[in-house]
Amino acid sequence: MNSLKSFVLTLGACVGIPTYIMAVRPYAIERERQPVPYKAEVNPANPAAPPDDAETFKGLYYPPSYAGDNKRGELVYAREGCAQCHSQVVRGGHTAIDPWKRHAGREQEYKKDVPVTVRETSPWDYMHEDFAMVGVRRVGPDLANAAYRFDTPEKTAALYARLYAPRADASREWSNCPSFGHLFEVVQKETEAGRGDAVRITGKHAAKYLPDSGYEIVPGQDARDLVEYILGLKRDYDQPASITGKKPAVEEKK
Amino acid sequence: MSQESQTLPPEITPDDILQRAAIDKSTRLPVLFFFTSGVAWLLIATVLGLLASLSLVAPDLLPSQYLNAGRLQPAFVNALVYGWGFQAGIGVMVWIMARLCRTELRNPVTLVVAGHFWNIGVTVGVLGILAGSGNLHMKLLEFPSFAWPILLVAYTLLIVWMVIMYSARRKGMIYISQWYVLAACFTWPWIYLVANSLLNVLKKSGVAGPAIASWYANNVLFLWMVPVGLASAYFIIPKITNRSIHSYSLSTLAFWALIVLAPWAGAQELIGGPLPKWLPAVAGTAQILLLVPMFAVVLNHYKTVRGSHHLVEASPSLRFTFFGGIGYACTCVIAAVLSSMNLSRYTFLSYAADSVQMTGYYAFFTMTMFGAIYFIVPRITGCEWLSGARIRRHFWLSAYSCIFMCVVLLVAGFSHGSAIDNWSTNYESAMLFSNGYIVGRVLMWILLLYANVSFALHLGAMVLNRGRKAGRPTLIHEHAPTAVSAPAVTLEPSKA
Repeated sequence: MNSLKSFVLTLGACVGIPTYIMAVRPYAIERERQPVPYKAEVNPANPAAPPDDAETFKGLYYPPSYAGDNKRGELVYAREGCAQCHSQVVRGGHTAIDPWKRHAGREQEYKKDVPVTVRETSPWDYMHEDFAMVGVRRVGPDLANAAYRFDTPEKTAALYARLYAPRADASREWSNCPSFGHLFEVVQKETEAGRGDAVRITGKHAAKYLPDSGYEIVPGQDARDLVEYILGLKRDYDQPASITGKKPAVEEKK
Repeated sequence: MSQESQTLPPEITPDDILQRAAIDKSTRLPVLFFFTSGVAWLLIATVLGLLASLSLVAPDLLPSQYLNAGRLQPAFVNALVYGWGFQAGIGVMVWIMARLCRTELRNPVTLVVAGHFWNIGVTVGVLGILAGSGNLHMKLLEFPSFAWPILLVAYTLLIVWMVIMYSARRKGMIYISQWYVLAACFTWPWIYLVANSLLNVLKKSGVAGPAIASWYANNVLFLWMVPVGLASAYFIIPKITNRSIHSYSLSTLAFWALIVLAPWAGAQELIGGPLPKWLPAVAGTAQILLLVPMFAVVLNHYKTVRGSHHLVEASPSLRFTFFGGIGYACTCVIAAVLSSMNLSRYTFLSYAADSVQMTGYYAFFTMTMFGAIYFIVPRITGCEWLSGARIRRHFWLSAYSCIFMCVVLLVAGFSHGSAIDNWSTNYESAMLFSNGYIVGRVLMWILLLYANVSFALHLGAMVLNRGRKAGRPTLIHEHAPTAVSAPAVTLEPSKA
């Protein structure tokens, strides 16, 4: 092993093979991933499939919409370091109890005797993302299905207020999320009532965050993009039978 | 190669001593450049680490735009790894390579140019993160997309220099430290290039993205920091104890086991995530198997030091290196524990992963580099460290705070994660469970800041030639026996 050449070649083999298997190959698989039609026998990549069938299921592909498919919002999420504290993943039931945690999915309220279950996230749920925002750490709440938490206009307005003043409400004093005040602008009120999209901060500690009288806080473009992005985070669509191996839920409804 | 390792160290001739002095003198400019700029980055990283941990305890204390928790944490980790870790490591690599090739350093300008490029890259990267153009979702690849070619060019210059030095070496056996240095030299640019071309150039990686980033981050630790740290330990331990390595064949075995296993690990961080199930399984297995080379190395070092443990007490370099060895063992053990599926349900993406980082980057790598700097700097500046008490203070403050920080983060990770993985608790209780530990981390950063400022001043005095001119090396305890002074062992198993 005294020759540099043979040393480098051995080293190259030792590192090169795992590089291919652990990095390049998973990358190639994800890059080529295609949406799956709900009816398994219709393969969009297969020209032999009957054309009328493909027409029938047009648009009925899994996933029906792409989570986080808002590039500008994704950029804000990335550069503000949200992923340093927030994950976007529901682990499978064989690993953890994520699927049964309240807030993990669509169901927000606790109902006695009604089990909350969310599907484990799958690679299809992260399609069209340049880099799946699985997250670096999970310090704050998981955001895999965050859209359901803010899906009414009132809740969306509360999300803006929370981004500006995370600890304004007495029930959220414990939060250690930073304030993203720099994504907002403080502008002079044009009318007495103020703009419709102005951020309304309420709660016990609201006074700390309120601007001077005659001024109001309005979200900037970055804040709007970020909220748009969060409102697109849905990863609990039913999966086609070709993925789960079970009878598809869509067919059951018919 | 085992038979050579049994031969006794050959006699040191006055010629050898003169030659070593000449080599040391020739490395002065580049090595001191890397050490001083590395230590400057260490101070920046310490301040950023303090602010980052503070921002989780008192989120409203710092201005939100540039200094929020999301930006400070990656800025701190990147400054620590690329600013301090890589530069201190390169300084040690250059010096060890020159010494073991037994030739005076050639082309110091190449190295200094590489160092300038490297510093420009890291500065641009860290400022980019704080200013809001980083990719803060990619672990250890958080620098803005334009920064990575600068770092890669700088590192390529280093490889060119290494190859030139290596081919100009005086013939003889290659010592294990040289293997480690060469491995670190060639593997990092490869994984960095692969990770950046996939994630920053080709993009559209979907769920493979986090797996690749974890793979890269794990390899920075096990395929770059571990080789550099071990190269330094394999050099310093025999030098100071005045003995050959206990078993040379064992060290060879450990080297190849590390190189074969380490590149498979990394994705185990995402056990339960949306990846193909085999990916974290294979990675976790490799991570657990990495205990084997760790045991081999630790056993080898322990057997070499055995019988001269008083030297660990007296010699600053050996003491820091010894602590680094324990840090290496702890890193491997904690990483292996977190790779188990039963425990990872509590530690998934939690503070416990920060504990592995701190153990690996600080308790192992940084402490080993301190040991190497305490060994190398007197030899290249020609003066001795000012005071043993100061070194002792630096050691105890660093050791105490990094042990405390690693334990605290591990416990915080488990309590935070088990609160999340509990039917009756939510994120609020998880936050409250872990908050006390996070306050502890802030206190430890304050101690580390004090220790590192004191170390930087000490190093500054040495660089400015204000060191002690006396011939005897500075020891931590002056009353201890002094077998440390004249390095008598040539490291090569056989001298041609």
